Order: sequence, then C-alpha cells, then structure tokens
Amino acid sequence: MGHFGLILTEMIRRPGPSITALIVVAMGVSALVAAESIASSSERQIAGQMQQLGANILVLPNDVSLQDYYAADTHGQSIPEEYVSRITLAQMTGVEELSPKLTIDSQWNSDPIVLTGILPRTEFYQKSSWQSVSILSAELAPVPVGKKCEGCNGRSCQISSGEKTQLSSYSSTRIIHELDKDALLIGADLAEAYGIQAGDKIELSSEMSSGEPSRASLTVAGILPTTGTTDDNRMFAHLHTVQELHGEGPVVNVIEVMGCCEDVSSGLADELDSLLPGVRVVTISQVVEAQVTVNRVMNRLSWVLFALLMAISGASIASVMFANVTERKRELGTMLALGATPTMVGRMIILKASAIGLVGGIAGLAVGVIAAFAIGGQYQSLSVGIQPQAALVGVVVAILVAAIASFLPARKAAQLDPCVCLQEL
Amino acid sequence: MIQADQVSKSYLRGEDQVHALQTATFGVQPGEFVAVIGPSGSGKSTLLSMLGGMLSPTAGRIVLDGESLYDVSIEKRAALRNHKIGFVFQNFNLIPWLNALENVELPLRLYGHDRKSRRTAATELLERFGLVDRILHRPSELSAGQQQRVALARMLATNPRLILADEPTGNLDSETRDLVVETLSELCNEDRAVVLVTHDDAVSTTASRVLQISDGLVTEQRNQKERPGKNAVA
Amino acid sequence: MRTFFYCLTAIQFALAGPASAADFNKTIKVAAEEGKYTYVMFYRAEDTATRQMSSVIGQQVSKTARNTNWIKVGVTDQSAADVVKKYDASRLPMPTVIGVAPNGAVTGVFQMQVNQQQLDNAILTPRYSEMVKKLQEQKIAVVCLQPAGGNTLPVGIKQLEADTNLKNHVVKVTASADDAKEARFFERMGVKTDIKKPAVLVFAPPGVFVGRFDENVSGQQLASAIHKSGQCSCQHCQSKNK
Repeated sequence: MGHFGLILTEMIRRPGPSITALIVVAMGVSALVAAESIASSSERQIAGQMQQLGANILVLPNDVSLQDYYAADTHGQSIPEEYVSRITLAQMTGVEELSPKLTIDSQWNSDPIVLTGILPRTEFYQKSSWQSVSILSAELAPVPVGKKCEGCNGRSCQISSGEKTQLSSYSSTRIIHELDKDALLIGADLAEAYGIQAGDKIELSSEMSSGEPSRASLTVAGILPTTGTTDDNRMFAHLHTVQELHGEGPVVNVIEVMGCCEDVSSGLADELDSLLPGVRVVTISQVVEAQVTVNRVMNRLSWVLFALLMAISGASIASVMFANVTERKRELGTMLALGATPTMVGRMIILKASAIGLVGGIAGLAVGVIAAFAIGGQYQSLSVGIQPQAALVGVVVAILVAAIASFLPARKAAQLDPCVCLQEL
Repeated sequence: MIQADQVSKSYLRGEDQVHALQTATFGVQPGEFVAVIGPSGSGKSTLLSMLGGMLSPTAGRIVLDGESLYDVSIEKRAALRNHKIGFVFQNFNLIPWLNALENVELPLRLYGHDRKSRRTAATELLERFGLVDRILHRPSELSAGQQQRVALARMLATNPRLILADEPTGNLDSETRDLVVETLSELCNEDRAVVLVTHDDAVSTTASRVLQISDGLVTEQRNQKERPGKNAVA
Repeated sequence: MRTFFYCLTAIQFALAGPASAADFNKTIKVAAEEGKYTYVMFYRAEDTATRQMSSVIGQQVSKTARNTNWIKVGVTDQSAADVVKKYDASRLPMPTVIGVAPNGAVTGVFQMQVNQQQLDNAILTPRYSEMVKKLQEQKIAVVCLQPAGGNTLPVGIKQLEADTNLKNHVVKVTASADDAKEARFFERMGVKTDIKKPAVLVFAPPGVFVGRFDENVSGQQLASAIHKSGQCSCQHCQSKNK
C-alpha cells in the first residue's frame, strides 16, 4: 500500500500527465459497457416479450421487410382478410389464436393518430366452430391431432376464459375477446398525453385509398396498460371499422398466429406458407433472431471499438509514461539514491499505469452505465441492466493494457542512472 | 566506516578514454568531517556517487562497514544506501508533489515502515529543524533554506552512519549555509561520518579533513581544525 | 361415349340444380321441416374453382336428393346480402361450401375445393347434429351412448347436471344402440353398437375430445376432467384464471 499510496498521491496532486490516457481508457470501457449493456438488455427484453407473446408466427405480405416485431403492421402493404378464415378453417394443429391487424394513419382534432384495427375472437369463433365435425373426427382419431404436441391445448380459437375476456388483456395477450364496432381502445401513453378516459367520444378521420375523406365516431371502451412498445401510442378499433375508414375492403397488414408452443411453430410456418399464396410467413424466433443478429453486430462492434480504443489507450499510456519517466528523471534518481531498487522504481511506473487503467476503467464504467441508461431510455423505454461481465472485462482489460503498455517505460525507469540526482539538469 | 581501496573510474568520451578518478585510496571513520574540494569536472561527484553505491568503479573496492559495496546485489546495495547512507543534494531534490512531512517519510516508506512510526519519526525530525509549522507545505511553498532543512531531515530519517553531501550549501544564503554546516558538524559528533563536496572555502575549513581532487587524483590536505579520526590517503 | 357422359352430367345437374339465393330463408325453413341438409355454396365469380365445386355438389345432391338440397350464393349478389352477412362470406376464401343441418348446425365448411366424401361426412345423424349444434352454442356436450335395451342414465351425468358451476355449460346428448338411425353416430364416436354398458364421452367446443368414461363415472370425475381440459368457461375456472 506504501508504494501504491505514493502513486495515487502523485496522480491526485499532479493529474495533468495522466488525464489524456485516463480519458482514452474511460472512453474504451464506457463504449464497451454501454453497448454491451444495451445489447444484452435488448436481448433480454426480446426474450421476455417472446415469452409473453408465446410461439408466434407473423403472416405478412410477400415483399415486406421485417424490422421490428411491434412495427410489423406499419409497412402499408396488405393481404386479404379471407386469409384469416382460411387459417381458421384449415384447423391446423397448434394454432391457438389469431390476431389480424390493419394499421392506418388517421387524425383526431387534426393530430395524427396511428389507428390499428384488431379482430375480436368472437368474430372468428363462429367459423372455427363450423369445423366441429371435422375436429371431432380428428380428435377421435387414434392419435388425436390436438394432442400431438405436449402443451398443445387443442384446436384454434376456442372459448375464451378468465382474463382473456378482459379488454385490457390485449396489451399482454394480443388477443381481444369481444369488441364493438364503435369501440376504441387507447394506448397508455396516448391516453395520458391527451387525458383520454373511458367513455369519451372520439371522432377519427382518415383518407380512403380513393382519396375520399372518411370518418368514424367511436367511444373509448378502455385504456390499455403500459407495454413499453409502440402500442402505447396507438388507438385500437374493430378491424372492420378500420377497414371502412381505410376504404380498401377486407384487407389486413399482418396476421399474428399464436402457436400453442414453440415446437409447432416451424411446422406451422411451412403449413401456412403452402396454405396462403403470396405471403411471407415469419416465425417470431426468426424475428427475434434478426434482432439478436443486430444486437450481435452491435455487440461485436462494441468489442472492436473497445479493442481499438484499448490499443489507443495502450499507445497513449506508453507515451505518457515515457514522458513521465523522462520528466521525473531527477525524482526517480532521488528515490534510487534514497534506497529504492530499480525493480521498485519500475514497479512504481507499472503500478501508476495500472492505476490509470483502474481509475479510467471505473470512470468508463460509470460513464458507460449512465450512457446505457440514457440511450436505453430513448428506445422504447428499454429497461437497461448493466452487463457485469462486460464491466469486469472492461476494467480488467484496461488495467492489463495499461500495465503492458507501461512495461518499456518501466524498464527505462529501472535503468536510470541514480547519479542524475547529483547533477544539474 | 567506509574505505576506498585503489578505486579508479574511467569512461569513454567519443573515442577517448577519460580517467575521472585514479587509484584513490582513503578511509573515513565515524566522527570525521571530510571535505572534498577540487575544480569543476575534477571527479568530485564521481567520487561521491561511488561512495554512495550509485556508480561502480572501473577498478578497486569500496567497503562500507565491512561489506564491499559493489560485490553485493543491486537490491542489497540499495538497502545499504537506504539504511546506512544519507544524501544531501545541492538542489535539495525534494519530491515536488509531496509535502515536507511526506518527503521526510519517503526513505522509510520505500522500505515498508508503518505509517505511524514513520510519521512520528518525520515529525520529530522536522521539529528538530524548526519546520513544525511547515509540515504540510510542498517544496514550492518553502524557501531554499527551508527546503534544504527538509532535505536534511529526510537524510536523517533512516538514521544513516555515513552522510554524503553534494554542494549542500551551493544554493543557500550565508545564514542557512552556516546552519547546514553546523548541522553536519553536529552530526559528526553523533558518531557519523560526513563526506561533503564543496567549492566553498568557508565550508571546507570547518572540515576535519580535506581531500583535494585534481585531474582524477585524490590528495589529502590537513586542515587547521583538527577532528578526531583516522585517515589514509594514497 | 364422352358425349353421352356429358349429357348424363347435364341431366343430373338439371335434376339437382341449386335453389335461388333469394329464397335462402325459405329453402332453409323447408329443409328443416323435411329433415334435409342444405349445402350453401358461396362464390365470387364463375371461375374454374366455382364450376368444379358446383359440379361436385350437384352430383352429391343428385345422389342424396332425399336428404339434401343446395343453394348457390354470389357474395356480391345484393339480394343475398343477408345470408352473406350471416356467414360473413365476404371474408371467406371463394368458393366455399357450408353444410347446414336441419337444426341449423353447421356440419362442415370446405373452402376452394370439396369432394363427395367431405360432403357426405357433413350429413349427420339426428343426435350427432344435436351434439354439434350444442357445441356451436359453446356448450360442453356429455354424450351417453346406451346399449341395446338400456335406458339407465349413469349417475355421474345426473350429478354433473346438478353441478352449480357447470349446469349452465353442460348439455346431455343420449343415443341408443336400438336406434338404427344413430348407428353412424356410434361408429363416428368409436363406440360399437353391441356394447353392454353405457359409454360416456365428453366434448368441449368446438369439438375437443375431453374424455371417455364408463357408466360408473362420478359427477366429480367428469367435472374435474372438464376443468382440467381448460375448455370450460365456468365461473370456477374464470375466477381461477384471473
């Protein structure tokens, strides 16, 4: 502690020479910690959302490029709503729920509003129930179709029970049991921003594809709980109401298919692909995979950036320490005269560099944490958790790089001629 | 206490061999105050460096308390320097970012003395040199005389038996110079030996012995002021 | 030979031609009275798929004229707006045919193409169509198939009918092996007509098989199987799911 204390005293009382190196180290560590924490939190959030949403499949128009699961319905392209019926009537194994959506731009009191049409389960329950006879046959077959997969509850769109019948359940289940044609659900943020309450009348206007204006007078049936997604800033109405506002007939932008479990989703995707012409069937795992890939790229970039900044830090520390040894020739010579061994002096230089690495690393960690929270907060209220591994690696590597970079300056210091202290410099 | 035996130092300057010191043989005993005088570049500092275990001779031996300084390891030599030799420099060589107390503690700190004991020792020494009110001042906040007194206190921190002073009064006013010389003289009376390099006749006259260096050759001039102790000159 | 075949098909069509879409309500009412099944075919345009489907239905109806008839409905036909709305046919893939039992139950829906076997499967026995009707009304069907000469209702069914949680959700359907008309019901339930003791089968909407039990099953066992299936929407399960 005697020598380390001495070094810290020097760094505190004469910070100038160390500051540049310290800043570069801190930048490297902060870049790593921030990027890693955001990437891992984003991955965790995706995983959480995936768990919440179940084994989902998206049916999209063929030429839609998918960027974000929650924005999968904002591409402006459409597929016929009859595809919903086709899926319902096909009674595929593992299809538990369907959620077709049509999202349009509308206006309320001249403010732009994103309006999403959703179809309540009651609308396609009827069609599902028309399949009773064929379901019965399949169920009584030697291997009941609905039981092929562990966890599969049976066939699609059955009776809703419990919370699924609540309007507010839409935010978590993406399924709504019943919704009147003139009912409107409001996203949490939108409701807060405009002070909207259940029972309010809202007059929405839009422009039909033919260019004619369209209007709908709707009543707020409920405010949805916060989801942390774009849904919080949307309004939701019955799909057929939105279709009337849109004026393009019975079309949807996307059909979300909730499979009973992940085991069936890839098989289901193939079946849906052959059932529905001109669509792109994407499993949620693929969506997640795409986002995870983006995260991984970000992750790798952060490591590359970290490596680059660490290399710069190393060079900077080496240069700072060389200059330091030259500047402190008399000091170091005096220490040698007072009984310090060359090893002691060399060790002091390495310790000082390591201290720059440690302090820079900790400062970088702090900056990285703040940056991660600040940046994470801007993106869909991503709840950022710090990646301890990255933090640890960042700080340890910073110390190691600093120690290694100071090896040559330390050797130079150890080889100093102590007689310098006896001469005029 | 310290014995130089046939000590020579030469080095190359370009292609020429320069003899900084030639076969010097002398001893310094406890209680002796030895002044080393000579013109600039005559080898005074070279001699002091070799006596201080910082510059190995080209030939000959230097023995400190029975141990040949340059036949031991670097670590051992550094330890001997710390424990048995005290240096006083012309430029004081205080560490600029340490305060007076920390500067005095430094030799003790290098060898792992605990904080409390080194702090007590350093404070006592600073008190002895009348610097108790300057303990927390950094060298830049002290006068030249105060700095040299801090340097003297630092030199005494490890209670050395041999004191090597390189022009310690060179940068001081006459009052402080007298104080330093007086202090060094007093230290001789504490069973220590002092070897002092100086240009100042007034200082050299206070020494018990005077070694004259000229062109690398060491000769002894007996001073009027006799001090106890043995001497031997080549 | 080919000419003869075409002529024969044309005659069959003439005999088994569809009823007019405008007469939908009347046709359905008469069919119900006569115990006939009605195939309601929706189409958008007279394209190849429509023609093929019409041909298959026509042939099926001509073969089973005593039990069936059919109606062809254009989804853009204003005179058929009610029936199109009733079956939400504008959002169905076209062409689609729906089998409607005399009691109004939909006994099959076939999109884009259909074969005679599928149409034949849409014709059910009276008890079977009763069960399907109840399932489509979101009831849980407890089917009791009695052996020849048997008429004792298993006590478990009686207990289930008295269960406060389930009594409004459960409907009993019984059929006897003595009734020759129900032989096909037995067959499709996978129960032989020569059984000696009653068999109890439970189904949840829209046709999920909950389980098969013997005559000794208790009401509690039946109730717990229904709850366990996750298919009931009784008060007990709703409050548990919340």
